Amino acid sequence: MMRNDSPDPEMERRLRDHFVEEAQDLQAPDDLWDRLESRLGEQQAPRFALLRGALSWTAERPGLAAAAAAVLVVAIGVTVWGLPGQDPALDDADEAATTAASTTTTTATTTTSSVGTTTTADSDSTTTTTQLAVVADDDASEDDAAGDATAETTQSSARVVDTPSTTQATEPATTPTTTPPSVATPAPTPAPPVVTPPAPRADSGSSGTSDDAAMDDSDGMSIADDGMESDGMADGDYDDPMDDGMDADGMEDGMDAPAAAPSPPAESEEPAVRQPPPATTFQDYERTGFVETSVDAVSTFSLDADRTSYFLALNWARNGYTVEPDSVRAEEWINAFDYSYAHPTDDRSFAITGDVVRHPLDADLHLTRIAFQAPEFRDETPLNVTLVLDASGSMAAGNRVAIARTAAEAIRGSLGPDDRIAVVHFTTAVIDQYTVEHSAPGDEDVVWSIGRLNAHDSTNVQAGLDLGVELADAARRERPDAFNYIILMSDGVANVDATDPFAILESAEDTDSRNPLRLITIGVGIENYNDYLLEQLAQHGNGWYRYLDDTEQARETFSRENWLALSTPFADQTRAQVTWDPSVVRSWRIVGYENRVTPDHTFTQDRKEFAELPAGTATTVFYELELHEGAGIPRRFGNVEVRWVEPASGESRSQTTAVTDLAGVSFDGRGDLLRLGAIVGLAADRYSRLSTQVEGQEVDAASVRADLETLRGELDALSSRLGSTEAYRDFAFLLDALIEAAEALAPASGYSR
Amino acid sequence: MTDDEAVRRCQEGDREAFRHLVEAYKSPMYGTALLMTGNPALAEEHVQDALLNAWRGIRRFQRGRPVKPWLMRILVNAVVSQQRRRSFTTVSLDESLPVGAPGDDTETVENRQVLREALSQLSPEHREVVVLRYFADLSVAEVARSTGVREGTVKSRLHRALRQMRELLEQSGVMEVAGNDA
Repeated sequence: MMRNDSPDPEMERRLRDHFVEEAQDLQAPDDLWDRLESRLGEQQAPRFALLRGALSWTAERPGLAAAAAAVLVVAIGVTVWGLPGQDPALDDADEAATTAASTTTTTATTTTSSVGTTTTADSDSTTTTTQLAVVADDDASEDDAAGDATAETTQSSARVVDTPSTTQATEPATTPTTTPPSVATPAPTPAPPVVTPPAPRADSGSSGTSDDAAMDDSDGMSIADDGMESDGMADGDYDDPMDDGMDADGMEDGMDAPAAAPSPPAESEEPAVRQPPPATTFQDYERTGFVETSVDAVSTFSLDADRTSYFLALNWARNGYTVEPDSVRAEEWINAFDYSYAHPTDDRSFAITGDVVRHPLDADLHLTRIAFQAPEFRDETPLNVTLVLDASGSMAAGNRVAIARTAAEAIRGSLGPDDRIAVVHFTTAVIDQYTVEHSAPGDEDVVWSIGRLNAHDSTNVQAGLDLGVELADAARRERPDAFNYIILMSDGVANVDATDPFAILESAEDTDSRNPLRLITIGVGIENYNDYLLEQLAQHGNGWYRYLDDTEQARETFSRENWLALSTPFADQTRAQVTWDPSVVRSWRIVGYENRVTPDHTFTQDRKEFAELPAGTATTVFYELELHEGAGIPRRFGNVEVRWVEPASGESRSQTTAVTDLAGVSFDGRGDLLRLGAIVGLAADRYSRLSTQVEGQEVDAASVRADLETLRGELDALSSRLGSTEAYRDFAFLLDALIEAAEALAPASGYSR
Repeated sequence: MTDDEAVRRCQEGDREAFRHLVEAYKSPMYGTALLMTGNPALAEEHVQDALLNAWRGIRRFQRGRPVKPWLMRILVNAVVSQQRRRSFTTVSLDESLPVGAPGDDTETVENRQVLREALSQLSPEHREVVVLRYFADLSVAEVARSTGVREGTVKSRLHRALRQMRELLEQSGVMEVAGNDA
């Protein structure tokens, strides 16, 4: 094998000459600016005016590493499944946002607390009121005592949830004032901790898998290369350990323009770099930034009960892959854990809790946690379930078919005698002979069809869903009182007919909004996986999205007990709006929820893209807050209002609560589960900044790594009380993988801290 | 107007200053996108998307840094992310580019054809670094930053791409076979 090959100056010269000759043909169109300008006019006019305030705010802070960044406002203006087109014009205030790497702010020190509650009535909706749980601690010692008291009982509470917890209060929901964090009752399902070693699994990708082959084909990568790349090195690697053996000496001077760049360090000095899984598709969303309350005091977002992003990342890390920063949705990481919130006292309201604590990463900031706990109840409404099963070739990889078949069978087995189930298999088209129309769950044709699931040709999600919707619609007409679920199990790798989620939804349009078809998407697979398609189908299809990484998880997720909860809808089109008090909060930033943030004016509208929450689910949101100096004690930080549509009655409902708490309580002065959620959310939020898809954004990898290491230290502090739980161990393992990847995924160099 | 001055004015919302940058860099961007995709319409779409993103993100751009690699990075992100999202088939460069102007020397036209063919046979990753290095005239470090891979990987890809192209050119008789196995 040749090593230290010389560069090829003659070939280089030929190429340069060639491009000079071709230059005339590669000229940009003369009128490119004219077309571009019209697009600039559509999008950009208000931004700079609004940013002036934000910029002046950052200008006062010379230490800020980053300036303004726009809050993402989801503005997908399409009509699918009855979804009203969303106004593409963003709320002015929502566009003005600033991103601050560090801020100079006030430091609040307070030691008293109070509870505040306000209620507003919605003119056209029923209004209920819940008192905000406020936990305030007079001093740290009291907290420590509370923490100690919690220690023994919370060990099994920090578990990852796939179903609503049946546990009652751990962290207080409606406890007035000076009560320290209440103690958790043990969670009822303390499965013995199972440490999953980071060992390769069946679906793990090494070169030579069918996934790899599929990727190579689609990318047209079939080069006859030298022996180097055929030595098991996938082309397109982020890192190639053979590189420097070949290049370091001979290539450097000849290939580089003179003094164009410093010599790279020898690769042997760099850590081994894991790779992201190949052929995966994600949507990166623009980071949210800090917003001055003087510019915009209102934050509106859709709630989110999904947790796929977390399990996908965990599965990748276990299989030796780098976690794709684009795939990280902090809200789904936060919501993957069970915080054992108190449940509401009736079946028609949320229990809303709010807590404020000092920020673990920045002494000048605070964190607020707001949680929405849905009630746990059973509903006797029968179900019409339509399974739409992906039987395409990509499903042959690893154990995807087995997972999907297991999940399908588990769902069938969890249905009651009054429920009905249909089965559709699709590849390039629907496999007609396997289609079973709605039948009793015990029908032998249903059992037979599920058992026939296997992997065949191409993937036509559209064809599968078209028939699924047709069957479900027929079942709905026949049994109008039933809830209707369409459950798509797939790796999302659509490649025949429509491959865009909105085009697929438009094709399989649900025209009846009174009793909607609820599209649940179940993702399977590691490589060659389209997260974007599955997430968007569920978000805009009135449903939710789960990820299954093995057959055991498939059985557990859809066990009868879990299925009964998951299949009982509590709230449709659920969104929340937080209004901060400008006299207390100087600026705010929502952690995660980038593709759930929505213009403020949409809050009063019932929209399909807002979240559908099964009974018993909890949604948690964290905000980073910069407070004004010298604000009064205790503090009312603002109000939070949640709105939703009650599935059974179709009635619009709302509920409002004041966010009132102490400021200045140290991070380790709060309950373990609040701290765990904050660590999880911030780790996901910081890691997602490493995305290389965020155009124009300079990535400060060193800062991200430092934050992750600080969070690792905070997690260690919880180990004595939570360390024996499976969820804690999984997350600790994942966090270590993020730290390892933080530098490797960042752009090579050239960016300062 | 210098690039730095244009950036400063852009950061204050001056659209004319942005036009200055667009006019300065639109052709290297368009050419790069066209060479990467082989599709003129798609190339312009990518350039427009990249420039929109640049306008949106220029507030965060650190003055004093070179503008061209930054724009190229945004462009490459736009192209690559689109390639990842779509089932992407590369249009042959032969189909998208005119072959020589009337009166061109026949041998030159043939050579250009062969070089285009050789370029089109590179893998997307290899073609990307070749185009950025020799057409967009970025340094290896800048190519690394634009593509999000390390410099060593860029060099390795360039090395392999050049070797592959040389082999193709030698096979077609456009280049003489080298006296060694380099």
